[in-house]
Amino acid sequence: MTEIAMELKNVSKRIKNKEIIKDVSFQIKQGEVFGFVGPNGAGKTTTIRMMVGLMKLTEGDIHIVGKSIQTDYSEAIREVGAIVENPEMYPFLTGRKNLEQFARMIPGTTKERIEEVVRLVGLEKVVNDRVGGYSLGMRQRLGIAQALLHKPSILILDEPTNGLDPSGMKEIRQYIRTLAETEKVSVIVSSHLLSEIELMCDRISVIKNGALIAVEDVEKNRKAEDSDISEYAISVSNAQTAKAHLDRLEEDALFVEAVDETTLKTAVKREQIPVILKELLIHDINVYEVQAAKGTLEDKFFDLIGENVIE
Amino acid sequence: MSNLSQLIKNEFIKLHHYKSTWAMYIILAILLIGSALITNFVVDQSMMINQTFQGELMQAYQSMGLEVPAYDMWAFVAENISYISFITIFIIVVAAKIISNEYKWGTIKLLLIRPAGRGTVLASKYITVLLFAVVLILYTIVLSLLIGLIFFGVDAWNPTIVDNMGSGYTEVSIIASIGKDILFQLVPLIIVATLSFMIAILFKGSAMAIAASIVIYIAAPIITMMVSQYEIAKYLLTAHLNLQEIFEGTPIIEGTSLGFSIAVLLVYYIVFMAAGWLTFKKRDVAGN
Repeated sequence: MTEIAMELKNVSKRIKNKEIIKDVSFQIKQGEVFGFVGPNGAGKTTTIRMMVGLMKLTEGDIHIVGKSIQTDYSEAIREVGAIVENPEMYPFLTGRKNLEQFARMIPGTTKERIEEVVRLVGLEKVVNDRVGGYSLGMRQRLGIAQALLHKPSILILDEPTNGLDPSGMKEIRQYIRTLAETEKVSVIVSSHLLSEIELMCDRISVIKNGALIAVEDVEKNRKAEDSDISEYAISVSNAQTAKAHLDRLEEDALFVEAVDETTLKTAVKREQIPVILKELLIHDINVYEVQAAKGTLEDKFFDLIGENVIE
Repeated sequence: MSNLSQLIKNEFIKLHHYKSTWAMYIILAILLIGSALITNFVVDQSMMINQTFQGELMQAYQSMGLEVPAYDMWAFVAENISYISFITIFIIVVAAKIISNEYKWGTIKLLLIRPAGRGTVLASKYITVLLFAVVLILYTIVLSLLIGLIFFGVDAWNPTIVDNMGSGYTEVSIIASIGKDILFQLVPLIIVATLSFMIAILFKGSAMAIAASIVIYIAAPIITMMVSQYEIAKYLLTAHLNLQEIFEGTPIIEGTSLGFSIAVLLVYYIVFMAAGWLTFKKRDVAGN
């Protein structure tokens, strides 16, 4: 049985009669990485702020491991570790002194736990330096360390890869996966970059203009790719002749289109690709490149998200 | 409860990581050593004694058959109690900064997503401000005792002096007299510190809080004089900040009794507290 780590029930937020969040409901299971995607200004951070009690809910309720954030705040928040927006720390304190500050705020957090968390995020070398001199990546890690100190069941990370270089992003991604798989922590990650989220999440929800417009299972999406029909672009020496040859092929569901002089566009199953290539090569048509227009979520959601209209 | 004490410990650690906090300790030390040096080498001490002990006070001493005390450690300490007005200004800054810095650094979010409720977080900050005021006052007194002892020596460990204790001049021990002076300085300190704390919460910044509180603290007599012909003057906060005058029977607004002043100050205090507390508890913590 998968337990529900967090549940949003018909959450709405109005500020001065403007509806910022509109009736959002979803559940997060224990040990899953849940992506929260939407363009800038869609309401991601507002929703996260409500999850951690920084903002009051206008309507609805949020339950964290069964406890309401509104009526059982202390109990509920104990299960949550979070970075909201930037990983802000006291710049004049060292990494360790910062962590000690946060450890004191939650009774029962030991010195050993601080060392453990520091090792976990790989900050051993700089933990005695002042945070003011940290790079963004180091601060991001210290932020995660701070969020993990009290062994929460839910980790909420708002834009965790923002401002990181590619290797830093990759590290954080791997790190989040490890946490979910080994420590059974549910992780909520928000981002405006779908491609980024897709790489680390089990499920993704898309928010736009304050409303939840889709919740998608990433795993299922990945598996489906093999047998599904997807688009490929083929670079050839002569697109028109190539199309003529391919049209004569007796393959079912074969759709070919010459985009320009040298590019063919086709929607086929993966297994049909070799058949197409053989046909082209037999007829002396040079093939330079076959590129799968990846069935990424980016494409899938592009129409859904479109442009975020600021109302 | 233990959580509150841990939060206060956190606040003290943060406070003592600011250079400005250490500057306060250093400035007070310089002021004390400076006044000791001036009193010792520049000023004629017997003239100072003559200037202080005149008129009514001198008569009181004579009628009670007491000797006018020589300038010693106790006189030095009693004089330095007036430095609490410097401490008050420091505390106004501390009260504003303890709130505004968290907003400036964005760390307010990290404070408020912990099991300790907002009320506890705010209480820890407020208590830290008051405790720090006590620390600075004790520091000033201990340092004054030491410097006074070195420069001026001591005649008696608890001499009896004559002071106005509300109902004219009476004999009191010097320690009681100094205690009374501290108490009368502490009241305006708490009031303006609370005011600064509240404004910092309302504006999430320190500039307005510090400026308004310092103006009210320093310009209190001027503000009171300006409106003294109107009836509402006696309900103004500024008319009640100098409790010493009221206690000794010479208030700016005539007919103000100590009891009335305390009542007015209490009302202001409750209003400041309620405004700050409710705002902090209810307000959404968003961007900036």
